[in-house]
Amino acid sequence: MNSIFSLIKMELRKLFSLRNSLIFIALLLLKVVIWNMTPYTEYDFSKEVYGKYIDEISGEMTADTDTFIEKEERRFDELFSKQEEIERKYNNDEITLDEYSDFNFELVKAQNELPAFNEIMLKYEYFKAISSDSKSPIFFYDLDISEYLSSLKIDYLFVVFLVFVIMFLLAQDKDSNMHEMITPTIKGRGYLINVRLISSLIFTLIFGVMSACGEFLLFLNENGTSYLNMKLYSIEKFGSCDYNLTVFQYIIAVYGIRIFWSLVLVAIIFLTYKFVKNNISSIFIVFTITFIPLLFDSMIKGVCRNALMGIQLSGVSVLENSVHMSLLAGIVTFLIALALMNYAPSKRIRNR
Amino acid sequence: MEKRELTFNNVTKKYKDITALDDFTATLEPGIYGLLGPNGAGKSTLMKCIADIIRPTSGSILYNGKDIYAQGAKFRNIISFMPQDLGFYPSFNAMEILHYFALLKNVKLDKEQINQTLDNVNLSEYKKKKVGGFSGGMKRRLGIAITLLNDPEILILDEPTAGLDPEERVRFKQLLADMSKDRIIILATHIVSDIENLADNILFIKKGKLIDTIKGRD
Repeated sequence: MNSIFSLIKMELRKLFSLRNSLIFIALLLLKVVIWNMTPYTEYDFSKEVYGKYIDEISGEMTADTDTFIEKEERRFDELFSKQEEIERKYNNDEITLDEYSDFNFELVKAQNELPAFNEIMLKYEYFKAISSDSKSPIFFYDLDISEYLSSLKIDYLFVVFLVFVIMFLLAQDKDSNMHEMITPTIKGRGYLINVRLISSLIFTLIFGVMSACGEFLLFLNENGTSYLNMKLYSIEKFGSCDYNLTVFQYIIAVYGIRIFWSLVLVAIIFLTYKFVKNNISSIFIVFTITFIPLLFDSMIKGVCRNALMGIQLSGVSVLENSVHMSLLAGIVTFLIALALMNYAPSKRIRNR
Repeated sequence: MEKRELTFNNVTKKYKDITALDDFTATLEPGIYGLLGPNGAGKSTLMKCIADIIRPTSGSILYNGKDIYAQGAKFRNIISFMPQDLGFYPSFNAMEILHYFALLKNVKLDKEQINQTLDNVNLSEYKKKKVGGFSGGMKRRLGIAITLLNDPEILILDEPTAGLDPEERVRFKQLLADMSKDRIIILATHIVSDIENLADNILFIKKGKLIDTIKGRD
């Protein structure tokens, strides 16, 4: 048992090399740059006005919330319905210029506020609908957190990093001219491949967590922690999620699924290299396997779509279409890759 | 003790239209065998077939009457191969490389034994030095140390003295001579002086064929 741990340690040493660590740090810095350069979502309403409405009704839905909503609805209705009448009165000198200006000021203000209010109304109606399912949604400023949660998809930078790091690990024996001394040893074949797979999985887990933490810290730095305990169903966009999660639990779940599929990807990389034994071809094949589901996403229906959503890691889709199918697909893929790695005949290293 | 015998039955290896080994047949018993032949004669191909890095196109190789490929890990446990082109992970030091191969060869080696092994090949003072900075001769000595780790019954050495200085060559030859009593040692070289007075038998290979076998030092 000691020998397998010792071998895993030595393989991890190769993976956690200075070069790989520096590349990972560069990757994190690149994420910071991308984060800061990514434009905010354009809304067709004023975020400031939306925020003011949320301040008025923040918290659970109460009778006061109903009252406020009704009052605002009346205000808008009255203003817009009076517009023609005010125009007529002004033209007939029945009201002064000041009165006309005051009204127009209120009208313009209302026109500016209406899109945000409509957004609040949608939220209000949604809250009323789900309250009957014994849920207690809470009004809070959810625009930024909603954007962030929607952005939680496949970590392309990390996938690229993983593919290259592991590919170089697998090719290192040949590159270092060690493969002809390693291959004839008793543990130099299937045993060593499995040791390297375990080491790569550990590496992926550690760096996957670090990469996820990096993203999460960027978000926390801008938006704080106040949203984390809110129920996910309080964000309308995520209302169809099957699971009764808080925002924080949802983030952990999506990152967890992302890391899970990264582990499956590691097995696919190993399997590809076993049969191809060529860096460039293996990289091409792995990227094709990883990104093909994204290209045909809209064409895939039903059960397959649920399974492949895990690869795309669109958190909303995964968690609203039952994460079980996605996880099952990943586990099956992993086990098949493991079996093929150990039992299928591989391409022999040629004497050239 | 079971008699040790390595038998080659009509072993042929072809790469597309090149025949690297052509109907190679021989029986080897404990002792030192020199494989002599020009570059491209098939020496390395034969050695890689024994080490199961490549497989023959036809024919069979038996050890003690059993097919070596059917034996798999059991056979790999009793052989050791040092290739002509030798390299190591450049960021590892000599001790780590030895430890790594000890693990791969399933040999328990404590720190003291590693030190002793390095001392045997005159690498003690470089044990903490990264092998990326080793000379060709130093790598060759480290390779020799590695091949001896598992006390193999069959030792396959491809150009083992390349890069060694005269003193190291003498030392190495003495080491082989001491080990050859109950071991099959196959030494491939194109330098006659490497195997004269050392090999018990010399196998001449040319264009993949066994041309002649002559008695060596005896």
